[in-house]
Amino acid sequence: MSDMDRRVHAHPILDDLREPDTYIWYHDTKIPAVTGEPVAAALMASGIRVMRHTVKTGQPRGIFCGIGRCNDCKMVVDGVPNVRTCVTPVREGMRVETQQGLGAWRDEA
Amino acid sequence: MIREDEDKIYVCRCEEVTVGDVRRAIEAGADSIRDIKLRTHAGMGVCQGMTCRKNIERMLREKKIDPDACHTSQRFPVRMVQLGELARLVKEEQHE
Amino acid sequence: MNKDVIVIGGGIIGCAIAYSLQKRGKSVVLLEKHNLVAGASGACDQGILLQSKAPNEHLLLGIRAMEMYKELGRELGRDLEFTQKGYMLLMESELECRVMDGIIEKQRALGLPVERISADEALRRQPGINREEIVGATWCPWDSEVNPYMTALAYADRAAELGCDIRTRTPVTGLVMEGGAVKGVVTPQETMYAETVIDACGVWAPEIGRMAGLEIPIRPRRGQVYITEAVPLFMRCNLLNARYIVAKHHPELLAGDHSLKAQLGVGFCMTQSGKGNVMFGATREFAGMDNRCTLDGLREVLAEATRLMPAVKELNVIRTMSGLRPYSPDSKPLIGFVDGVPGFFMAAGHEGDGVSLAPTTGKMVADLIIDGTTDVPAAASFNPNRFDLRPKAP
Repeated sequence: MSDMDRRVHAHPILDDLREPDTYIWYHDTKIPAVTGEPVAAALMASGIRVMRHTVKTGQPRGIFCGIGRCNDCKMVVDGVPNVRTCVTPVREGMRVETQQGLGAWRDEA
Repeated sequence: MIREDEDKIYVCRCEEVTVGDVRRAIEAGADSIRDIKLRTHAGMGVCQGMTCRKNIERMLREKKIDPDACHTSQRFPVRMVQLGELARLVKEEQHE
Repeated sequence: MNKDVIVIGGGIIGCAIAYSLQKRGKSVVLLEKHNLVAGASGACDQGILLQSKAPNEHLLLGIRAMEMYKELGRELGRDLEFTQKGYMLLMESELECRVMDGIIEKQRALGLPVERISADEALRRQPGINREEIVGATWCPWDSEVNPYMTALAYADRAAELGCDIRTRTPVTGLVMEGGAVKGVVTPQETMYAETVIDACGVWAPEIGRMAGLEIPIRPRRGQVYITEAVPLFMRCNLLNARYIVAKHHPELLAGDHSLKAQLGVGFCMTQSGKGNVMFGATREFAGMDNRCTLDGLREVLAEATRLMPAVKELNVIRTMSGLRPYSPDSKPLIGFVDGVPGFFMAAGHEGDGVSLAPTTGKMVADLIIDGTTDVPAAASFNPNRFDLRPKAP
């Protein structure tokens, strides 16, 4: 599931590729990430393609538009549901979880 | 032309509305984007029809229905905005 | 073409009337110039509110309508998303508490289970309310919700199944008048004749009225509502602020308030649908036929929302809506035959109560046209002839 390395490390044209310098949590797994890249990019670089399961039919969804419009990529981030991971930059130690339907509120202490 | 076996394809991804759902709404008498929206919820999701609207218009035209003849209201916001941001814009009140 | 009844206007009122008449064996044609629910009933909230009804026969009418709604889904063969989560009215001052205490005492005497509760109890009922902003609340478990456009479409579909002829994109361009009586209507496609023509056009009712030589005193009162993305359910009941009721029954108490909020007539309401979308409302403004959403309305309503329930500032607004409520001078609809114009029947002017009173309006209209009498409460108070409908001299 998650320790596939699908990140592009070398490219014939792009010359500003950076190596991971931080990390986020995907459930209980630590995922390497590049500072500033979208959460979805970090996840996909580790082979994670399912971001959520839909409300009505529970079907898996991942990136569709990639530009923050279609909302297919939304996940629960640090306890908050409906976060669009394709336009949300990573933050060290961020906790990301697959969203089931609408998600659930995290109980505030 | 959308083929028969494409009934299960999602037109509205946000509300999980299929080609078949939209077709059935048209058969039930829906003759505008708005009718289809009210009957199937296509276009009511977070992206507000950005993904599905053009395809639904095409399906209406295929049934010789002019989707432009009856309006849907086009309103702000053009993309979702956080409530707190909008509420922060309350003007200072003028004191009488 | 000859029908028993022509209903002009395809909002929730027109659809309820068409169904109620067709159900009792009348041949009906429903004419709508755009699409069904193109007016207020397609841009409104979901409340069936009993607490807002005056503590007299109008409350009895509201209760009757709520009872009819309980059975309506079954009758029309469709899930109308009717639920009875109850409404809590939030009071923000001792003045509001005093006014509401007076009102609920009378409402209770008529059988409405409404009670005054403390601010702490309100918070227990609905966590997240800003305790510092309220001094008390009222609670009524009979207040309910329904999906307004689904209800209108269900009325229309069932009417069509029973034989009603529903024509959308069909404007009425004139009335057929003969010796002062209305005999039918003119549309771009054809002229149709009927024994009774019903004007159920909401804010467009005066346009039809003018074709019959009448001046119908209905004015548009804009209401803007705002809708968020679907989020997990957190609202256990519906909220309204008591200011709205106080303004309705005692407008003089708010006469000194000139803030933008007051000018826009903001009455705060908040509800969450079964799907998870939260709706906030609403303004009550006289803005002519302008049904746009305004930044002022948005800011004022949402400022109220974040003041009364701060956590909502995290939610995202995805859609705004604006509808024109048909307001009449005494805030009651005009329902009945018009004296001096045989064949012409008014059924418009519900201003914010169209959804609540659609079932009773449908029944009342069918009763009056078929039986000449009705047992629907408060019917006499809706007599259109209580106003002078003749055109005023220039």
